[in-house]
Amino acid sequence: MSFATNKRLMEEGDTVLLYVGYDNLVQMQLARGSVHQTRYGALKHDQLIGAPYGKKVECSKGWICPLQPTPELWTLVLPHRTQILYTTDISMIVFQLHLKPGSVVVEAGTGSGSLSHALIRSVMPNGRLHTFEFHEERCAAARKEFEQHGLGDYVTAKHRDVCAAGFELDKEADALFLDLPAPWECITSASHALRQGGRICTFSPCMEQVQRTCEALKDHGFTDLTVLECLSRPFTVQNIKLSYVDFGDQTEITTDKKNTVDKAAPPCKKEREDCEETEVKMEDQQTRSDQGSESWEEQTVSSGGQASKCAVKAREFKTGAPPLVMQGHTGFLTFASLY
Amino acid sequence: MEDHNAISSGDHVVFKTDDKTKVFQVIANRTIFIEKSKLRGADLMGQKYGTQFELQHGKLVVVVPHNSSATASNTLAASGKDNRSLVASGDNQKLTQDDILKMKEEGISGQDIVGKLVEQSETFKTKTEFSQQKYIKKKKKKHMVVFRLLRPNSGLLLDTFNHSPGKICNLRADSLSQLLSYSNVMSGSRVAVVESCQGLVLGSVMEKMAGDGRVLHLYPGNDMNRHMVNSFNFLESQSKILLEFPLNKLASLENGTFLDADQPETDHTDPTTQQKQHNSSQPTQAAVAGGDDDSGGNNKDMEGDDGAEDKDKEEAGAMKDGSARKGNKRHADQSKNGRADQDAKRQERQERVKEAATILMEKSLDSLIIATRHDPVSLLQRLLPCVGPSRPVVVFCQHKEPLVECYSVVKESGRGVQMKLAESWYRHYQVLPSRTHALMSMSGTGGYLLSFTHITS
Ligand SMILES: C[S@@+](CC[C@H](N)C(=O)[O-])C[C@H]1O[C@@H](n2cnc3c(N)ncnc32)[C@H](O)[C@@H]1O
Repeated sequence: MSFATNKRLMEEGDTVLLYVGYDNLVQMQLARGSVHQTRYGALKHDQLIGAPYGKKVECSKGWICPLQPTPELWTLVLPHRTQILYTTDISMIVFQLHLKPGSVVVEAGTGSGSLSHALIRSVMPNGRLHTFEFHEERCAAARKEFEQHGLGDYVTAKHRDVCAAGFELDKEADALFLDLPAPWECITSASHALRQGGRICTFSPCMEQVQRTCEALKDHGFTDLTVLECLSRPFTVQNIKLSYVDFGDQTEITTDKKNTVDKAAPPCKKEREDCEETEVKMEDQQTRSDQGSESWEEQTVSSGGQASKCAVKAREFKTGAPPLVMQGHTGFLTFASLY
Repeated sequence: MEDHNAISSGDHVVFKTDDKTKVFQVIANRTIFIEKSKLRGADLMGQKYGTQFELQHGKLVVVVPHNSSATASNTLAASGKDNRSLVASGDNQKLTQDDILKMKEEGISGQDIVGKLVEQSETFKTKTEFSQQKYIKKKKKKHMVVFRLLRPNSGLLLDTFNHSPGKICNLRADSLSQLLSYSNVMSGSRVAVVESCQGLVLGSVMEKMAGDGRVLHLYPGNDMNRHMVNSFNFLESQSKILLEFPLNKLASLENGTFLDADQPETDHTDPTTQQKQHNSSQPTQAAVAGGDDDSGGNNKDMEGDDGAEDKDKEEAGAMKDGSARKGNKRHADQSKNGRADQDAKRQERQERVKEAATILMEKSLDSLIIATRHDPVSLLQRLLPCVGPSRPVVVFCQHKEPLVECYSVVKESGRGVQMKLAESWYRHYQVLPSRTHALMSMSGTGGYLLSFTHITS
């Protein structure tokens, strides 16, 4: 019941996200008597029930923090039953579909429900999401998740092949979204589902798909076609030191190395945690092709180190460093209106 | 909510062509300038939202869908294979400027004029099909005014700044959309917003709440410009959730002297009041509601400029949505007792400030959004304690450095997790058979976004 409203305290049955250190966020469902093992020690669910969200909890070996899920955080932890959409694309979809409370929005396929959660949030409490999925178990799993998250009242999850059977909606949708391999196959039915002035969006990784979709959209009287791509470029906050070069001037200059040599010693635990935090992780950036994602770690520069006590021998500054490797593509978003 | 789909008096309406988006308010006896033509507000009233119009000889003519593309392709009957015989000197047009003007005066439609231009062009048939389309597009743009009238929403209103992003701190669709996602704004939320985007962020947040929850506009003492809020056509039930609090009273709120004190002195610095007074001294401005790029001085309103006309827009908007605050009072005492009117307004304002203060003191905001041209670091440090635990904070800035600083400050305080500092890359495509490519120019920046979840120990 933890998605529909802002809650202060945790209750039994809530889906809770446990923050267990950088890049370690896990979901769990609170049940009396259960125990959750974390790297910082065991955590009894009973300890959380009745306690506030967002307040650190001490475990034997460190602290963790229970968070109330939002669609953005859920996207990071949800069980992948398919490839999913991430927040950068999701935000653009919600925004350009002009969703607001009361809107009726249609989605196909449901997939893992990553987008669905954001769609529901924007149309609640008096709007509705109709989501379609032709894979029966996936559809059932999504339906169960919506119920568990307290969103059941705002969504209809239907098991159906929309390309073959259509949406069976008659001019009642304000917006419609398609993330399936052949979106052009259901544009006819989509155009019947939308009301006058309705918006449509399709997500496709390949330009050939976009091309066919655009043709179908034009054939069905859609206008204001816009095709775009949106990628997030995350920055790691780092302290950088660039040592000065010795020009042989009379003033005494020791090299930077001598002054910072003590940093070779292994950092204490606290420092190591800090370093971890400054490492960039492509949080919502796993590519659909699941590329390796280690390269940016190489660029982590020793941070948190104290500047040498004597005269500064290096230029020090804080920067937001871009990743060495980043997501280069997710998919193209095609938007259009039907008047 | 989209039941009555006709434009009515007082509505703000979005005017959209292929490359321009503007917003203006429709008032019966006001003049609206659309591409050099004068229209009266009354001409637009009763028209359906979503309708496409062509302006013909100063008159609105409804465009029947599909018509235009059909005509365009008909004219493409013959075309050359390549550009080998293309003559560099223009298009060897037989029609003179005078001929065209005459046709326009006779009330010949832009569509027909373009048709004539194609007929009378000696080179048209030798152009490649691609160049022919380009030619037609260019001529259409010059001789036809085709546009749609749309109901405003945050996406369209953002588009009104496409050619002047500097006015809203370079906030772009991708940044605004992510700001709205990461802040988890939804119906029922209690959100604090500090912004210098003319009210566009405030309005976008309010749009997501549909009258349930509270939006606290925290404004620097001298900077309360939020006229874009009026352009959303919010109903009273939707706009009543907007409260405000002047940040120059934050210290007194923190040290507990704020609520005890009477706050008459805040009213002296109340920009809304000032604006009002300013307005009443130049009532003639109210005659012009919009302008057109080529017409020179009158285009500020539609551009979302913060010129005099905007203030006037705010005034008019207030009267209309005003059902809400300023307006309903106006109704109440129709006697021209300005004094009582002002007192009532002051009273209402004080209540809004008081409620905002109470909410801030509870330290349980559901989200904090900062998108200003002021220093975000100090804002974040002062306001973070007002945010509830497990609640999101989003800071947008057109520069990266202050956000790097914000990141460090929050990390050192241990009060944020799931921190993310990012910018995004936003690119549009032309998709046409065999001619698909990314657009030749793209926006170089849409600003930077820091988001995190607030936690406590
Ligand atoms: C990439 S996934 C969608 C992921 C989803 N957008 C998310 O964010 O979690 C595509 C889904 O569409 C479903 N699908 C494909 N073709 C379909 C069709 N014709 N009718 C209904 N569902 C379909 C697939 O089973 C798959 O689950």
